[in-house]
Amino acid sequence: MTNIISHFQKHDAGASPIHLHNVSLRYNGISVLEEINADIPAGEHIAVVGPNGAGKTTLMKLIAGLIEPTQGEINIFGHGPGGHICIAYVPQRSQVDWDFPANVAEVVMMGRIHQIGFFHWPTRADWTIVREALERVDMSAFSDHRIGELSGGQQQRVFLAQALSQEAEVVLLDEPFTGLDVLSQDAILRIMDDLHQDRVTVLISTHDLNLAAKHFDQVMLLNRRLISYGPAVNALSQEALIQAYGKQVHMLPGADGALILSDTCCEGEDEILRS
Amino acid sequence: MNDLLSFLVEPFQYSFMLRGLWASLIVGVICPILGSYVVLRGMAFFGDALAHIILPGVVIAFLLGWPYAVGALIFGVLAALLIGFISRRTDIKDDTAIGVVFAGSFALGIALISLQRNYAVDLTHILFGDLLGVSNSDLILMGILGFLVLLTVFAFYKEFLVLSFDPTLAKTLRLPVNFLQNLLLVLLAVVIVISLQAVGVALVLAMLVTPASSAYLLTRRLPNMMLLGALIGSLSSVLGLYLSFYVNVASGASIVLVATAIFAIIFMIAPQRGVLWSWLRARRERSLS
Repeated sequence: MTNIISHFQKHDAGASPIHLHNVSLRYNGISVLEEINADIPAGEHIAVVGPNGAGKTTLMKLIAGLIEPTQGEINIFGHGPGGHICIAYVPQRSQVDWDFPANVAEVVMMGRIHQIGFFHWPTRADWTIVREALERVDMSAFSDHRIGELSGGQQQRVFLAQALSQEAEVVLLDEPFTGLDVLSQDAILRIMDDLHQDRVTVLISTHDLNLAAKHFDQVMLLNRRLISYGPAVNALSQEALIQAYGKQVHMLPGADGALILSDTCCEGEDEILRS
Repeated sequence: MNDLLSFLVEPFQYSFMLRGLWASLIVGVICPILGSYVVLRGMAFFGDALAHIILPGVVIAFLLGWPYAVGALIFGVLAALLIGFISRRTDIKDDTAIGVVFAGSFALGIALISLQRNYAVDLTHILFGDLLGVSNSDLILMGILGFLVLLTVFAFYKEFLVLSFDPTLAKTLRLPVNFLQNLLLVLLAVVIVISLQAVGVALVLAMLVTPASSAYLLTRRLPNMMLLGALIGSLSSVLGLYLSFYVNVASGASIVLVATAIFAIIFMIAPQRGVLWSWLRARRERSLS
């Protein structure tokens, strides 16, 4: 009764949360992603790094099922992403109308509307889930604030609460740390740890290589192709970085052999693909 | 006291005024409720265009003796699909595609009317409304359509909310986004049809956006925005009718003028978001520094 219009796939036992097989995407004849292969086990937290235009946002949109690959196959728990409601995708902040008349609790409740179903209204159980989600991101005190009144870090936490209330098993965060102060970054990283314990698979794109190396056990280095994928020490090796960033990366002699200075910024990332 | 009472009651001793009052109240309530989505989604130009696009539909229905609502709806839905088609298939931007279809369709409507010399009067009625010419059967049709719109907005409230706030979320939650978007356009066409007799093609836009944006300045949540918008809309209708009766102004125009005046006042004095408020805040900050 809940899903009148669409029906949804059950998860295959033993299937990985994210499986990418030869995934390529071309847009107006330009290659955006080429032959991405990766298998991401449940509960893994992965930082996706790479220069501007590397296809980080595109990769996330593909996994979320918002766009289709030109080639290859994406499987989420054994089935194409379009059949899932267990994927939460939090785009870069600029994409939402912050003047919209909605309060924090309502925005978090939006994550549940599929579970609630057509022609139904949120029950007390739904509101309990929303309240708990807000507690987990430490935003309970702001429950009835207009979303436009929040700071960038608080807004980011509200969207994480939305993913929690959605009971998402795959969470995709596009540049969540951009423009945040250290305290807000730490708050988000703490929520990540919390998700780790629930075995929620998380993909985070960032241009901050230090942050990726420091806080994530697995790193994906992307520049149209998947250049490396693995523990930060291996994935961010000198050769890999040169391959990804080319001239943008400079090596300085450091304590452990090399210190990386990369000059990337985030504005206008992946402008080429707007869906 | 008696004078005031007779002042208030007198207009509605005429049955055409009473029917006009009911019709304008239906419009005053329905328009801002759907108009809230028009305001929040930045569809004002589209709404105005759609109101003009349905003109040939109204004329054709009129000539064939059908209810004008049927012709208007068919043209409204066709135009919405056509606009989507043009902007998807070419590099032409949405607002340009809307403009092309808008002007072309409106011209077709005027051409059709001009072929019928006898109907010259009806062009002004369609353009500017004919509130005092509302018949009982018109009123019943408006009531039924209005009720259906309210029911649909209520039934799909949370889906429309997500679609308006965050279309990407609507997609990842696998909502039938295209269906919902088209449903919203159909509702818009229906509301325009309802408003046609009250304020006319040229002024429907005002009823869609003006009370709703007044309410936007005063509220923090969508349901409140809709309710307050409906309140402001119906207040504008009643006051507008009095104005029309005593000052002898065209009824559609006077309703819109009242709604605009209310907006102007709220725009000035609204707490937090009004002009006066931000002026005071800027002054205080200047004196502090």
